[in-house]
Amino acid sequence: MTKTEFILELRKNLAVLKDEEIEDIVEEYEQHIDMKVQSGLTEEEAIEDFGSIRELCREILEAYHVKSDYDQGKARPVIDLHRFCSEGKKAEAFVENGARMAGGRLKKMINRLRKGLDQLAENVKSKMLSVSAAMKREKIKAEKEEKTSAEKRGVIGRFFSWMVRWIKAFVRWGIRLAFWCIRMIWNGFWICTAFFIGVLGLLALFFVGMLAVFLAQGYPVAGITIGVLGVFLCCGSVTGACLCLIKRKKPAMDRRRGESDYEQNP
Amino acid sequence: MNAQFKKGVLELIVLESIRGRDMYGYELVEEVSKVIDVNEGTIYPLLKRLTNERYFETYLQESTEGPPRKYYHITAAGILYRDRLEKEWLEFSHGVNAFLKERRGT
Repeated sequence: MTKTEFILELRKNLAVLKDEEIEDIVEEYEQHIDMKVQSGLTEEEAIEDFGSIRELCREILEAYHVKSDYDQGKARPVIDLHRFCSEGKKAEAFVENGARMAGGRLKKMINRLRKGLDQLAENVKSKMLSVSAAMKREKIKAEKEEKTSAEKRGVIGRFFSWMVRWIKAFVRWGIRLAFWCIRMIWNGFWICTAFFIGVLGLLALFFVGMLAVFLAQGYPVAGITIGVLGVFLCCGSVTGACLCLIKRKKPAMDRRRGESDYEQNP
Repeated sequence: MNAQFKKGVLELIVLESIRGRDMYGYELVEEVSKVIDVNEGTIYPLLKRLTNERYFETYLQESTEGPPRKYYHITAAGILYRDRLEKEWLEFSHGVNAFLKERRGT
């Protein structure tokens, strides 16, 4: 075998390696053969000393942890792809089923809960409606009675009842205004308190931060930090409480109910 | 000589030789051949394997007679590995010698 034939065999058997690696290996063998030729041997003799090329290449591939019988084993499938896919699909279906069942049950529970809440809301609404309807009816009845009684009394009577109605409206407006003022004062007071305590809380947070930095640097301020943190939390909760006490505008139904309430007791 | 014996100690001899001084492939083959008769083909794969496992480093050095040569240099890991191999070899050969000595009488 000549040097070129040997190198060709090498390249063929080591084709799985990276090009740089193949070149590296081939160069070394070429050099070796050249030096042997220099020292007097022929190319054939030099190559004979290497022994079986197969063995050589097998050992070289072992150095890279490459399977030396890679070519022969290429036809063999490493995993049974079909079975793998089918098992995978079965597992998928199982998980899907399970998830669907669990989801179904959860949905049913949520639906039942929602229905229950809806019914509750319906009940409350219908009750309120009936109450306000009843109040309205009473109001209309009262007005009608007044009208009929005024008509009975004649023109002066009518003028009198008209004045009474106007006074009543005035009073109603007055009461509404009074309540609006009270509500404003109440809200204003609580908003101001909330604001001041909120600012105090933010200051406390700032100090907590500063103290935390000191603490991290090793000063013995652990106690003060915890204390200021507590102050911050207290301020936060008091602010929240104040904001909750603010009376918001009630829905129209309630207001009318409230007004008719005041009407009954002027 | 029994091929199995040779295979076992070849690593140790190669590591020891290169620990002495950096060598290139051909040089190493000559050195090792002084100790045991070795198939030159197996030296290069062995060098490759030990280099891949980081027991050797390689560098190229220009030479006056032809292309640059690849020199092999032992690493710290290589020295530790060589020490381990030597210890194992001494234990092994000592054990075998003692066994044979014992048996020689019978």
